[in-house]
Amino acid sequence: MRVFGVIKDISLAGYLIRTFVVGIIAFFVGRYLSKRTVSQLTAYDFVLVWVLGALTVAPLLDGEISFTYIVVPLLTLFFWHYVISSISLKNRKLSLFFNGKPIILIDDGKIIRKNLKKHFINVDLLMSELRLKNIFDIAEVKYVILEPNGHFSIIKYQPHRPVTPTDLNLIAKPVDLPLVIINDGKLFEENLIKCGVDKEWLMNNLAMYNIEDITNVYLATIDSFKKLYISKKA
Amino acid sequence: MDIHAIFFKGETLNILELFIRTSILYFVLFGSTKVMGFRQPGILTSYNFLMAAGISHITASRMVNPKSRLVDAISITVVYTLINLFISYLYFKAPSVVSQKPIILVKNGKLIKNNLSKAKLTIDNLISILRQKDALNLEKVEYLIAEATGDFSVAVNNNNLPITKIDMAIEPSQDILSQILIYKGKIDEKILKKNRLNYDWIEKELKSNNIDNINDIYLGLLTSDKKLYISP
Repeated sequence: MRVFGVIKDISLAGYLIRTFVVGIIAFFVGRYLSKRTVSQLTAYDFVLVWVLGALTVAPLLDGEISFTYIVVPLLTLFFWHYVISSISLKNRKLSLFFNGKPIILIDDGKIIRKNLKKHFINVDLLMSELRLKNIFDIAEVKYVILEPNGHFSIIKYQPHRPVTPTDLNLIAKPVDLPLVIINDGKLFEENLIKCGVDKEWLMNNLAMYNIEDITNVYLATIDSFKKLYISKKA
Repeated sequence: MDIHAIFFKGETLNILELFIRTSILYFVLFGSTKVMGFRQPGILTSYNFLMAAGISHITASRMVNPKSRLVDAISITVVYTLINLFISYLYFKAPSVVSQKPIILVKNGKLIKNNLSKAKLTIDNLISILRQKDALNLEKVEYLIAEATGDFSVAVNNNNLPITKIDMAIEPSQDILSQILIYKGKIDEKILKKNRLNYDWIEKELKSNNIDNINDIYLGLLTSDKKLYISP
């Protein structure tokens, strides 16, 4: 039975083996791509993802498409993608060319018609994007920027922004990333040490939640004020 | 290597020729997305999505199919791009012809049943959308609009929104768009001029940060209150 190479009449079993191989290749292609999240993709990346997807499955469409015909294009695409990414990291001007520039659509409350026209964004689309960002009155908007990944950044005039503790001369609690100390009944001692507590302290505190055994805890976290969050196994 | 073969024959290519064929198509595709780039993933309407999927599939299958010729692939991509450009131009010039209207689903806390079926949404869809938009209470929703891009916008009653500075009569301070002024020791003159700043100002800012040489700066951001944020 022939699986690889150019085959005119490929059997069902041949296709199934090919599917298996394609699945493995797709995994590695995805691995390579996952470095940037999908929502950060620029228009160009976006199309590239589609192309890679279509390329990878091509041997399943037609027996005459051999794996050489997909592996070479795949490697070629990776090669150019790699070249362009490294150039972009080195040179800011070229990076802006390859990845696109942010475009200002509203500048200090004024709609820049030229930029809207250049990017074929009509007023309906602009208003609809504002609504999606919970802005129903365009007069509240100071800046609108079309980012290279196609998302709109919208900055309101200051009076229309929420009141912050600074406005009221209040001092807010600092940002705190609690550490996980128990996950699914397993203790992470290094995180305990980082917070300056020990196992005995933890057991005493767990006793207040009527927990005697660590294995009964599904998740426990601790913040820098040594405050615990505990979720028991149901 | 046979240049004629790369363009006109698909079946006899060796690995190097395949590499060149794919590279050419890659840059054709790059140019095509560059031209069409105005409609980017974030503002995809279903139509744009279709176009992106289409053009990628064309180039991809042309890259791999031994029976296809490169000239065909290039011409198809170019024409397809032109069609897309033309339709996008229509979106701008004559939106009433091509673009879909937003549909109002909820108005002043009341469902508009007719429009709900027009948008092909079940009541469970609707409740799920409201939850995702942090509007847990239907009666407090002033507007729920199904946008042409396929997303939904929600306006809740103003009394249920965070307090803004205008509500509290707080004086606004100076506020501009944060911009990259210095990158790898190089000053962006355009931004400097636009904000009516000069070199003396930069020097003063550098001095107050105890930096003698501008080349030591990796990133200098002009912050929204017109100060220089420096990261060496």
